[in-house]
Amino acid sequence: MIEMKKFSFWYPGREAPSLDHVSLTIGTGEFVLLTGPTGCGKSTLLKCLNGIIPHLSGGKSQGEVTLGGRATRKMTMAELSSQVGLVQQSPDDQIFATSIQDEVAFGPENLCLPREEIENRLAWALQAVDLGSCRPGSTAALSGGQKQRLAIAAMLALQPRVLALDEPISQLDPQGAGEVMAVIRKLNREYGVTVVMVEHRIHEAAQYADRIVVMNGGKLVFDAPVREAMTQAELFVNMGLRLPETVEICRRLKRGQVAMTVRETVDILKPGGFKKRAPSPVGSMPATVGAPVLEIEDLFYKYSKKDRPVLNGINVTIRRGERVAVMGRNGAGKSTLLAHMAGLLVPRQGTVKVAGAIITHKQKLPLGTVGLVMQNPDLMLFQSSVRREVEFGLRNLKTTPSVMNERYSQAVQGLALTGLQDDPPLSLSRGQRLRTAIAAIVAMRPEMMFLDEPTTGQDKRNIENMMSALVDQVETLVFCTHDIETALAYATRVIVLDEGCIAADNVPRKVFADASLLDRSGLKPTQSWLVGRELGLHDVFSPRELEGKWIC
Amino acid sequence: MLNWQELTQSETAGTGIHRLDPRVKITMLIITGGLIVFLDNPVLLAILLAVGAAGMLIARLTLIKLKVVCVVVLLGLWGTVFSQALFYEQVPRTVMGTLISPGTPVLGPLTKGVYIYREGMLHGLRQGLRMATMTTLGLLVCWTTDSRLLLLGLVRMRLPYSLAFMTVTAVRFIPVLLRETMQVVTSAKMRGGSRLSMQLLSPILANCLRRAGTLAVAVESRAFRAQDRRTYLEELDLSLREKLFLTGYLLAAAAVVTCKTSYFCYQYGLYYVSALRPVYEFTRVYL
Repeated sequence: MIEMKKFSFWYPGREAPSLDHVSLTIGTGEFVLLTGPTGCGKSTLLKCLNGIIPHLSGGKSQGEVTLGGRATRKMTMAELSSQVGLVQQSPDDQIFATSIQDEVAFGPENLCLPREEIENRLAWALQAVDLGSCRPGSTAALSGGQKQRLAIAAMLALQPRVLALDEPISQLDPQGAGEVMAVIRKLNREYGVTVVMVEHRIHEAAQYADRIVVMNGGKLVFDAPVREAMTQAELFVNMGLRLPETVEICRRLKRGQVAMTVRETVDILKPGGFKKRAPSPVGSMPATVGAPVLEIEDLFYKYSKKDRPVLNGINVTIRRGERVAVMGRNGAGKSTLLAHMAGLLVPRQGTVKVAGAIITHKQKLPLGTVGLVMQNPDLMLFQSSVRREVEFGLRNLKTTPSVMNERYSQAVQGLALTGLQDDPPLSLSRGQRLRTAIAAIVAMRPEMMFLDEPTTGQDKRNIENMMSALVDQVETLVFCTHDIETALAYATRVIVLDEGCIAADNVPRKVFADASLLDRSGLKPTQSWLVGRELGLHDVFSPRELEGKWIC
Repeated sequence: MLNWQELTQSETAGTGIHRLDPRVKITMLIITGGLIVFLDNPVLLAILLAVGAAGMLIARLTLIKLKVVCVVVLLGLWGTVFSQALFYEQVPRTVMGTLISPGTPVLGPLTKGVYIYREGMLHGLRQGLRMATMTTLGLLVCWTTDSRLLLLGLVRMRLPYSLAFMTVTAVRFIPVLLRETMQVVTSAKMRGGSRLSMQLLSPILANCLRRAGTLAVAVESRAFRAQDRRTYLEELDLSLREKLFLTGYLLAAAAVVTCKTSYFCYQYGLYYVSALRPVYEFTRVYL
């Protein structure tokens, strides 16, 4: 179906190739998971499949990409569009119509199909992604997962033989991601669509794929069927990629065997038994907490009068030294709560007291009291170099040169930015840009720091480096995340939001052991916990903990 | 705090104005734009403005939108009337009052006196009403027409699809751009920066370019401009009532333009027919 022969590609103005002699063959109906560290050329490869490269990208290429035996270079964009559908990472950036049916009909209309045919394809595509009942609705009313399914439907309406997906689940809550993956699998299995999917979250996607291809530095470095690939765990670990927990469990307990699902893992482990002396649970230990630094009472908020409330009676106290993970499905109110905590929004009803000051329209927090890292860190980078970016806040705080140098060095070293001090922040990789934005805040030593989805689109190594630096340098930390593993490892407390209300507020191990709560809140229990429960272990959340309590 | 999202989006309340064919709204807007250039009578201009305002009430727009229109219209009116009243240069002009007399120490000799002129006020009122009418009607069209219908309307009015698509998509992303601008400003302020710094433009522009790139890939991947023409799932259907209304409005506007043109020709000695004297008189008094 798809064949790349020693294909190389250089973006305009770059000396190093983004794809370097890539040779890859993908058969009809295959589901290929393409993974690798951030910036390794995965998205560039996808753009080669649907002709964006070389037809619209500029740049220089060598070698050939063929689709069904024809070179993409010699095909028109209309031909390519009807053969390969490309779905990108952010649903909000690629959906441009206000109504669902217009979004899906856009492609067939461009192909000049008759109305009846457009109508048929529209109905089929929406049905295929389980959005058939939403057809007359507005795109704005959809959840994150639904929007991504709509983006897939918009491509399906062109009836492509190949679906190329660029990190389609990276911005979704676990349940939304599950919905999208189920739809992709259905398209692959039932409709025979060839799927090429780029994803960091291989622990969530690997079980659906037939084959894994790993890239590094623009080259293909590994290509094998999923189960075979999972026996090479070190390869993924060395690249900072996260393995499915079931694979990790079997790797630790039953070397040589691979399980992709919880059921399989349980079947493999069942012949074993409990360890007599189990070590105490690992993960984040409760920090020594001090006096309250943030108090929220009866907070209600809605963006306009006709909107439904985003926050619906929130009562929270956060104490010095706590590390709090705020979780919940997309649209549960996490970012709005964080904006109130940082004093950016003034409550319409209720009170928010930050560092002793009640937030009102007149009451502003002194500079450096709190720090906020937004969901899109690019909006926080406006200086000409990393050094100037990190020093910007310190200059405004009027710190002495020696203090400035000391704090700058600590922030830059802690967040692995050494050697980049003269680079323009916006020219760095995504992980580096996020770390620069964090360093700029950390250097100011705020009393409290808030991070909105800092783990999105980051590989495991980046997440670990970033969170370790934050734990070292920030006393009180509140972060929104969908990543249960990160919350387990770094949070001392988890607040779960559901439709603007606090559904749970407890230590991570209590929250993540409540399966019905997680289900209601768009979250999913860890695979280790599910395996442990089947085996009769009720306080196990990671492969390491399972290894400590179970023997095979 | 202003809710830019709400302010920049159309509403879906199903009033008669919402249901009007987008071509009717766009055509009316264009005709009115031409008509107000010809009209000089402040009463007629005020009536057109009142029609726009009534349309907003009938369309049951939200209070925040009505407030914003009021502020924009009143500020604009006050600004043009006041500035023209003070700085009207043409003659004859009648002094209604004195702000600074020539005898006032320092300011008097410097300004040679500042007066309020009656003709200036009237001229300012006309200009202000023209702007206010177009602002009100333009916002009414935007707030009562879904962007997809606007796109369809523009395309059906022979605007090239690519151009219409780009225009409507750009409008759709205005709230996103505003939200991001606010985020950049907020992030700068939280680190002690100024909200007016030119440096803040770089993340805004960089993000715009990134989004434009993503959007371009999304539309190109769906065969945008792959063919010279395209088909449409939805067709617009101009009802008989809408056709009659539009024809009536167009004829009325044409009549006004004809009257004003003939009066202009008569006034400057270019063309005169005695049989048209009632028309000259009507135009002079009412238009």
